[in-house]
Amino acid sequence: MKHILPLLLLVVTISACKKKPDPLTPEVPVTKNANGELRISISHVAGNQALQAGKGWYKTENGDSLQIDRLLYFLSNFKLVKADGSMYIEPESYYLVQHKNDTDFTIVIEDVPPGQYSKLVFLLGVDSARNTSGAQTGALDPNSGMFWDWNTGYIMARLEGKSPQSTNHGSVIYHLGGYKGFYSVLREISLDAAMKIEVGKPVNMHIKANALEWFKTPNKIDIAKTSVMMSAGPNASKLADNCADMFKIDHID
Amino acid sequence: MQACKPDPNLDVVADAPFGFTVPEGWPKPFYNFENNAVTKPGFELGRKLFYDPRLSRTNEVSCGSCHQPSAAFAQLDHPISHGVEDKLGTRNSPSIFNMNWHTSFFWDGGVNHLESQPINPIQNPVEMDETLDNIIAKLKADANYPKMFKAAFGDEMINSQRIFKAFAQFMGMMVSSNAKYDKYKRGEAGASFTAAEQAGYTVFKNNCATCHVEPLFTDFSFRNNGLAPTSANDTGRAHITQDAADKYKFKVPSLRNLRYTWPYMHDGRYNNLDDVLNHYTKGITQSGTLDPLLKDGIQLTDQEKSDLLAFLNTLNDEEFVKDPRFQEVN
Repeated sequence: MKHILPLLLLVVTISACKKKPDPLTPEVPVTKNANGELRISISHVAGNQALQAGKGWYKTENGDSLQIDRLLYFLSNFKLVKADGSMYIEPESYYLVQHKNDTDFTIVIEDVPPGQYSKLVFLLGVDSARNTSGAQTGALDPNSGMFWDWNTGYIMARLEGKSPQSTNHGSVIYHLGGYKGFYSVLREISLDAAMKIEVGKPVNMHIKANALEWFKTPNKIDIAKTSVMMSAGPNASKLADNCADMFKIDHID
Repeated sequence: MQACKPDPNLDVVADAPFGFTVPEGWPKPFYNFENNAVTKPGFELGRKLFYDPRLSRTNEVSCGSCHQPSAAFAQLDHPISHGVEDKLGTRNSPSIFNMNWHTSFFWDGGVNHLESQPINPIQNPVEMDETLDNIIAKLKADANYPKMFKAAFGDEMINSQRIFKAFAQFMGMMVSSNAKYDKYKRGEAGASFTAAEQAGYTVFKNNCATCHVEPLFTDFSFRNNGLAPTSANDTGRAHITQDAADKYKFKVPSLRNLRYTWPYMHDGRYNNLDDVLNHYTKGITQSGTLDPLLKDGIQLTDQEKSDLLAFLNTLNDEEFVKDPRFQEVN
């Protein structure tokens, strides 16, 4: 911590102010290659198979048939944590992960100070601060359709598809949102991961995210009873608990 | 963190700070243009956007269609405003002034930030029914907008964040603080209350001031004021909180500028203030979520009502509704 924090502050300070350089004092160049890099590839699966949106049919834990058409969610606030608890916190760390068939979604964490790390920690969703601070841009631009305009806040995760068991004209629509207290769907996810970050040698982490976990543990979902969910509340919190264990590290190389 | 403090020598974007001041004796505003320093070009861009019907799907409905300057940015004589293709919602178009003191927006308080407000009517299918991407495409194709974005934000890039920040600059500058009441409170020459106004001020303090707190004349809370639910069965705040205890609660509106903002209440059911006062004296509908303060209604004599109306009339700010800075352009 002692070693990482001053460096981190320096990086944050410089990058946060990049847009308005002081012409009197030349900008201190950020030497990115002084640090390492973690590349996270997320591939979506349904059980043991690659997720084929709009094509594949899958069985949920409850035995319901399901086809998934859309799967997207926010991941934010990535941290690489060392065994002693010190950590590298990625600044401005917001990603909108969108499933595309046969394509991994890649997140690159740059500027990671070299060292041996033991955990990757991130948030499923967008932290409450960014839900309450007005107009955002980049991954948080509300034009993504992942934003509730009438009840301000991001849709943290969204799964849409079809099921013959649905009681809503055959469709399954889950929009998980809500960042406040009891009804927050934000979940911090911590994955054990031994990673040696070195300069000039990016570490590649391969994560498998199992979409069927939405329906599985700890709250088995019966699609006939829960075909549509589009507001914050106790049911959204239950689904969020399910989503929180969809991420498994497959391998690191 | 030193380096992040705005350096006045470097931060000059077109004009210098463009006059937002907190009126004397008013509380600190909730929104004070943090991360969105208000400038004349930013404000002018916000004004142009506010009155531009191209922000709607049909290119016919602007923000100003339902928020008219002469109506203190409500819509006169419309219980419910018309959106695209004359579609109707369920609620009365609220006035716009002193927004920087609001901690939430809309009758149900669903929106939590001034910059996050405009997206709601823009995307609402019965209001403007347009997408942000379409709006950005229209603005990029316009001869003037790219230049205005450059003047306001330093380059011609147009994105939703800049649109919303410009809106916040325009609406945040709308401060109504020059009613007779304000001049009286400031002790300005010639601004004395008549006997009726003074008596009405006392009636107000004794009967209305708990919810309609001075000087904004609202406490920004959500309350059920005993209006009988209509066929629309609008549950108000409960729609946002999913809490049955919030059923039929709506945000307490300001009592400023009532002369311009009729009809009244969240659904515009009352056309005049006599009807409003009669509601409070003898029209309260009892229910589980009725505000306890209104359980027995408000007891007012005819004299007290007449005095109260005289006082409320001192809250009308003609300078504000006629302020040339806020009038329609395009």
